[in-house]
Amino acid sequence: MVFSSIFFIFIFLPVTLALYYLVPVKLRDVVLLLMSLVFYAWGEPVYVILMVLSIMFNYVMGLQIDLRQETGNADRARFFLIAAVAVDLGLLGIFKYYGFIVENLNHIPFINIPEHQLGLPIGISFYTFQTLSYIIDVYRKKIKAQRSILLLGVYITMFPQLIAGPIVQYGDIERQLYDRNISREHFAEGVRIFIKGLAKKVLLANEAGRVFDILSGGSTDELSVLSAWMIAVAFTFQIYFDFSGYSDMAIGLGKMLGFDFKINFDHPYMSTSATEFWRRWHISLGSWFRDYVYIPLGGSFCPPKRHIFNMMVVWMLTGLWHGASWNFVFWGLYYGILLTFEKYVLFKNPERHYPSVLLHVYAMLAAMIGWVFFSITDMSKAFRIIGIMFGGGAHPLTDNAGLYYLMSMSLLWAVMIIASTDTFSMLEKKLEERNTRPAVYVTAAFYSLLLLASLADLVNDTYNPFLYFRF
Amino acid sequence: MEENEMKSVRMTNERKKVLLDAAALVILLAIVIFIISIFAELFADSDRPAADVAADVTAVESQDTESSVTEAGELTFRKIFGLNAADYDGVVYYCPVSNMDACELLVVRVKETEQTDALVKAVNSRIESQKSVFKGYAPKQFEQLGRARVLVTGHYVFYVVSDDADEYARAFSAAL
Repeated sequence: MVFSSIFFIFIFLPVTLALYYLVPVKLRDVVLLLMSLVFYAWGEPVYVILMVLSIMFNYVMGLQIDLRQETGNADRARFFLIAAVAVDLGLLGIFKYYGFIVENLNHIPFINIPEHQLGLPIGISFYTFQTLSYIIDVYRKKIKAQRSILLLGVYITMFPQLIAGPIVQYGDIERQLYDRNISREHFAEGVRIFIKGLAKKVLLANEAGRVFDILSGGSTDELSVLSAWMIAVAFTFQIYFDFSGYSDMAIGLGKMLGFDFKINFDHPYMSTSATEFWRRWHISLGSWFRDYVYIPLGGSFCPPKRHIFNMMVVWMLTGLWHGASWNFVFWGLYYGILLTFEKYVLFKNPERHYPSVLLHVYAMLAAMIGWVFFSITDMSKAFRIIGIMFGGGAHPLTDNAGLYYLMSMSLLWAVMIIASTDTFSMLEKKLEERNTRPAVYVTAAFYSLLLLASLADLVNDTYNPFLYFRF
Repeated sequence: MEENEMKSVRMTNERKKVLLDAAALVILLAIVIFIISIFAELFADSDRPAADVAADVTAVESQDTESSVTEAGELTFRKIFGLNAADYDGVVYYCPVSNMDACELLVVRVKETEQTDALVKAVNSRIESQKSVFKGYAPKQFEQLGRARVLVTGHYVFYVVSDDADEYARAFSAAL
């Protein structure tokens, strides 16, 4: 089940909220867990068993580590940590990377393993990273092991963040499992954020995605320079509004249920470097890799060679996390190289200042080229598109398809550019600060309009892709 | 007194450890059984005829697709894919009703799994040729082709172009 669907908005969400607020307070967690399992089982009737087993296993392992540390048996605590991490990563490896591993093994002479497509459990990368953060933090004594399997189950399965993030670390939400912010204002704020996310997904991301699908679907032989740029621009907007839209919907739904999740996107296309881009893009994933891979490897407090190695490992894994395909690995390494270049060459001398316009252009170009590698699984095709963008080969400057999608959607492209900046949030903040009756009416009218337009689009249009089935 | 309390805490902890060890083992065993069952199903080959599988697949309700496809014979299959239906165990092909439609559905049960490569290649070139036909003037059909699903499971090859391609693909997997 996805948030941007009529069934979710008109059936699942109202039923869940009604049950959640009508049952006695002590039963709210039971409702939340059961409805989250229903939400997941809707699309994954078999893999819900795997998720439940994973929760039970991590619950027991958390208690094991805690008990061993209480009784001063550090070696056994470490053993259970390693066992839990191995099982969690093993499950991720089997269900996400089996096909990829077999396909690559079969390139080795005399190896011929039958290739079968194992269905990928949706959201496995998200919930595995959450369970890993829980287990590792229990071992690091940052948190106490959760005594209630119900609350641990709520933390891992909570439907707002289950299938497309954000990756919520247990420490960030532990207190809220016991004491939630249930108020009319908090709920209303959640509704607003949900509508904003829905509009981003339905009104902007889907439209950009449609252009990307059409222009990138054919061969590159007749692709014009303009169409190649349109492919990169369309996916740049699609992935941002889709992913940040889902995160907004998750944060909004969390607020409706009394939870506060940290923001996951902070206007990344306003960045002036690839380093800054990654501080603003999918913040929860970046924080996870920083806390559980980069810093344990030594972070930046080590000689440059070791630091560059650490960066490459982290970025290769970041790429692989996004999907079992070489283009994701390449995309990750691309960022590893870019960030290394920025740290050791471009911004090595803090005294040297570059014009900010130039830095913005550089950061956007870096992101757009990255998205071409990310979106096109066929690496040679991705290189061809990038080549055409910069005038490689004898390709025409424009073609009818490129011109058509540029001109017919010019207003929408302009809205997307503005919506990628912080203009709307600044305006909203100003209206909120004013807190006058007209300001409230304007805000209410704006969100009502967004909701109506999104619903109308959902009813009329069948094009509503879910991009995270490979995550 | 204090010593007795310490002893009792130690015993409780020991009992907890035994219980937790047992629980971890049982859950781990359940996980292993789950994985084995998933792989057993993955590698198991169905012996259902292609016509039965296709009947389950076409039971999916999709008004757009139902009205824009029609069951085709061996000749059409040969014309479209360049392959001989008699070489396979069973072929069910629903082709587009008109040149303006892109929806189509194919279920083939091959005699030997070695036949699947050529079949998938033929299907992929069909998708590419349809894309070049619709590109530029029929965006809806072009989009449908972009979301075409081609699945190979055991002795079966499945191909569908439809707004509800994912639904059909799920029905195909369930039918085996």
